[in-house]
Amino acid sequence: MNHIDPEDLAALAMGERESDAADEAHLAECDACAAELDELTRTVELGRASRGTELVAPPAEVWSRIHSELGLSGDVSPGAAVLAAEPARESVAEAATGAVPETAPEVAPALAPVRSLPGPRRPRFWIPLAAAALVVGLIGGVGAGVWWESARQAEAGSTVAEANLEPFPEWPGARGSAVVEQRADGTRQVVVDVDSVVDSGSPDAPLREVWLIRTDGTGLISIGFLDGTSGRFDIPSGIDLVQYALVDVSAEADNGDPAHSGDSIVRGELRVI
Amino acid sequence: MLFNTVKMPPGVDPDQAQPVRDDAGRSRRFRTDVPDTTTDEQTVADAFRAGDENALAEAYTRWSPLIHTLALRSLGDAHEAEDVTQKVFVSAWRSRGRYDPSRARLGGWLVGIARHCIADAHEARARRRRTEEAYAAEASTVVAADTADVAGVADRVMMADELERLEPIPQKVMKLAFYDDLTHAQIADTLGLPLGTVKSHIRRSLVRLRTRLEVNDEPYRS
Repeated sequence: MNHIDPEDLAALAMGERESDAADEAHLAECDACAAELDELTRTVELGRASRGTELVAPPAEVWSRIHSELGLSGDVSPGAAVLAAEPARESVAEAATGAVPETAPEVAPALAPVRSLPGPRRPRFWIPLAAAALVVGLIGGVGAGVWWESARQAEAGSTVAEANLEPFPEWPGARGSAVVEQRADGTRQVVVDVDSVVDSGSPDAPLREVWLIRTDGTGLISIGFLDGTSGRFDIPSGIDLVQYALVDVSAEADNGDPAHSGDSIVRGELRVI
Repeated sequence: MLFNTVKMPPGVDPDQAQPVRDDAGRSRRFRTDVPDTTTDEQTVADAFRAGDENALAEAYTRWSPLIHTLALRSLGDAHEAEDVTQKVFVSAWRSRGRYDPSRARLGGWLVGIARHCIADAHEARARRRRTEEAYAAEASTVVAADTADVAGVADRVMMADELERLEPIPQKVMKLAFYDDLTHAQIADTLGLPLGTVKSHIRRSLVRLRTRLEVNDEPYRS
């Protein structure tokens, strides 16, 4: 069964395009797509309905009352364990375009209404007080002290580049995308999604390896093997993505040969966003 | 060597913003490329459940604007909204042992508690009104608690909160789509992005927003 392309489903939910006869026929018989469309449509309705909803933080005394009602320790307070951290933003975007990244006001203090900010909240690190004393000087170190990066930063850093991955002739219908994310600590990862047609799932399917290739053809590096339809790969810190702008997924035999097989499935050029 | 001869797959215009249309016969699987719970939220949720007071402070920092705004919009009274905000975090802390991180994000659980507290506030209001009416020796008209749209308000406030937490570019894309009713092409023009990138942001953001708007409305009280 040919499911509706996820981006097309999103476009249907947004009212960006009308469903055609083929969509309707599929939605009538595919519960998964119909349910997905219903949920996305509901999300869009909510999104539109949220216009003008401004978040208002409670006044500071509300925390004081909670603190005293629960008899919390004296030094526990919102923000006490917060260290504002300036991310090292040496992003592809700047390197390639000279664009200055947006900055935004810091999160409003608890007394002020939280207005729609024009840009991102700065990433912050949240460190428990007990641990903070231990890790002073270890900032940038891994684990131990980093207790709460801003929600998005841990899950996904700032998206700095994207590529649509297009099929080679031997792999018609294959397609994918690559998104480069940069975290507050400057490390970068690329998230590669490919269509299921690439991941045949059969036991004798080839291994699939992900590469960064220089646009001038003078070099390539392997960044890992792709399992399933989605993978997240670290990008070595010395790699300049302006030079290594091609993301390539190749079919590899399980023969121990570390070189590229020459059999690329999809490839695309990273675009700075 | 393949690399110096083939830069891009043949037939593909590298500047083409639009991906190639599907061939007939391809099959797709839905991707769940957006995790429901971020690692650090999980860390805070676990610490919260384990009784770490710092985690309560972090949860308050993260979610008190959402809870307070929900109460404010549902009750229309600043004083009552502050009381509800206080009650939500006090109740959540006292019943933290009943919070199951595997069933709900901490924020969703807190919103569920807030709904109960808001309903209680509406009922208390109605009781006061009935009492006043009884004193006034008037015919007692039972006033139903006005709780009909608390869930709707909660959804909208959570959505506004989550939109603010998107990365800057997806956030701009979604606000132009939701609030300014721009088409994908107009958004691409406005932000100077390829159309394909706009489409991809919209899909990813919708999926992310959808997964993050879940409320655990189970009773939290014994």
